[in-house]
Amino acid sequence: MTTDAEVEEEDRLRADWYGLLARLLGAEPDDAFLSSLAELEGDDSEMGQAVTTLAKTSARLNSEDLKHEYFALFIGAGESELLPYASYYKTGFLNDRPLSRLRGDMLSLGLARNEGVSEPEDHIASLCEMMAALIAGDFGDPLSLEEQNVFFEKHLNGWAQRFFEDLEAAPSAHFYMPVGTIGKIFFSIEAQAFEMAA
Amino acid sequence: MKDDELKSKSRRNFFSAGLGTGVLGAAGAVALNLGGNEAEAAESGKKSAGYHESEHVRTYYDRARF
Repeated sequence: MTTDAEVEEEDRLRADWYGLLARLLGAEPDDAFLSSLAELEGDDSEMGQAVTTLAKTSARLNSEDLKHEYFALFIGAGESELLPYASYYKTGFLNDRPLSRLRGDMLSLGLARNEGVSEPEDHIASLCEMMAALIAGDFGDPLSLEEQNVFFEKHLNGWAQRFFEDLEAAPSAHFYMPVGTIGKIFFSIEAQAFEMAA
Repeated sequence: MKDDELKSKSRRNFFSAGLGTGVLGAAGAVALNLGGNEAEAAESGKKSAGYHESEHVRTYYDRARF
């Protein structure tokens, strides 16, 4: 695959951030992931401060703590503090039209769920993973900015920012509090950058 | 072409300013640090299938082949 050269440096960085968010939100971090996060150093910027907080929190907690936090925040049918699905945020219901629209777009982009996975595709982690792959061209040619913008507008913009604000403020969020801040800042930059490019 | 270059440059500056130059590469650093599959997947630019461990994102994307 020779698509690497076609991906601009800032797009590679964007894909990395989407990938990191996908990884943070898709499952509770294990100890290796936590020690890697603990090594991060932020600068004085808003994002830098959130990264520093995440690093400090990662150094303080272990994977067992994270298991409990992740469960309280995202799992536990009907009892989790948050429901990180596009459909829920947009309509108040799970598995509603936003999910079927996403499935339609995934089909035309040649994306499919892994076999045996029952989790709906409109989970924030899955959507971040898709954005990372579409930007970097992991599964074919990278999408143009315009195409990325269409996907972003349709499936992420708006509700994702609200979700990250909720995550930042969720009662059980310790590790995930700075994750919420990071997601909030990143998505607001993304939204502004797409406006600039349009 | 020149317009594109300008646009690209201003977008790059925009991201540096927004994310903070100090943390721009942080996400990539974490991925590299975790090494193994992720790094290889990133290098080959092909398969990152299964690089997440949870049910949530054990999603595998495969471009339809004709």
